[in-house]
Amino acid sequence: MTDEEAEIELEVLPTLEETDRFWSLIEDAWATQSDDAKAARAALIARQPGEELDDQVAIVDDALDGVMDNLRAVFEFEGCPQSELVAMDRVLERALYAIDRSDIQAVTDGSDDGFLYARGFIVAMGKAFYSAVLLDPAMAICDAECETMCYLPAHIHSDRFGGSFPETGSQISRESGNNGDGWAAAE
Amino acid sequence: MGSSLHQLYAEYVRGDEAVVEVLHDALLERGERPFPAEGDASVRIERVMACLPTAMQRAIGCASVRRVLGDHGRAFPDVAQALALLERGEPNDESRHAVFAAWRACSDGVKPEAARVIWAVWMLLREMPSIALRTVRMLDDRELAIQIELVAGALDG
Repeated sequence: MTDEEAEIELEVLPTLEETDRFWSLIEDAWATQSDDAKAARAALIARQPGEELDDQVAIVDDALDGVMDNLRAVFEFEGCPQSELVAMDRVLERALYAIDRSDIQAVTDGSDDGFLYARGFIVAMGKAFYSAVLLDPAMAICDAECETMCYLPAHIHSDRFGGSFPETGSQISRESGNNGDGWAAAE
Repeated sequence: MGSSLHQLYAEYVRGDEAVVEVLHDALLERGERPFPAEGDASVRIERVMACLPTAMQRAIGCASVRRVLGDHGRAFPDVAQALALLERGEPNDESRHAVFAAWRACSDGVKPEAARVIWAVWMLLREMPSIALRTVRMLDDRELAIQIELVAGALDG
């Protein structure tokens, strides 16, 4: 293997700055939602692990369309460069990968695509909710899904820059069951 | 970063071809990756910006965006306030949210100039000053020459 080939195969990780930008983007996208939606989201973040708040879940689920519209507008805007789309997709896939775990799937339910979309919901809820689930899977919500989140920057990259998904260099896949460590205990 | 390197950066941004090789060698001596030979004025600005301290990048970005905010962002007081807070080193999440909301209100293409200016402010708040500068240049080609002097002037110090 040449030095060049070895370099290509190095795993590219998101930077701290990129990760911060991703989560702050999610916060900005939520900020324009209704007060009811923001309150429901806050309640889901602050609830006890395993506590079911169906009304709040329904409100948040409705609001996610607006959140995704905001993210779509950002990624489609002429001022959003290709490099930033790639960076945001790299952060997103790493975030999805990190919660590709059997103990989280046991709470969210869903197989393959369904569990990917459940992880999309966890990410779309923002850093506080995501971190809570990372620490305690009982903070996840059964059957709550956000399919759009999972490939939003990738699809827009494809539309804007010639048909291909971003080359993030991450060497990982966001698809369900790819995080070996996350599923080791279940095997 | 030594003042001599600052001077080389300033001359590079101003387009002085004679300095390209000197800067190349200076960066190599410091163990840093030299700039590629090719690149227009916009690329030079972005290369040099990436080498500057964060505070200096922010100050240059704010100065450039402020120049165009009056012409295109007058109807958005929240945006002007957010920029003022950033200039004072007091940005906060609330003001960033307000700028984003203002951008969304005109991001549908009805007010393209306002959308670009507000986007530039939002990019500053998201700590991407080079993208803010790029967006300002989309508003008016003449801003390129002004940005060259903003960057070089900051380096001349």
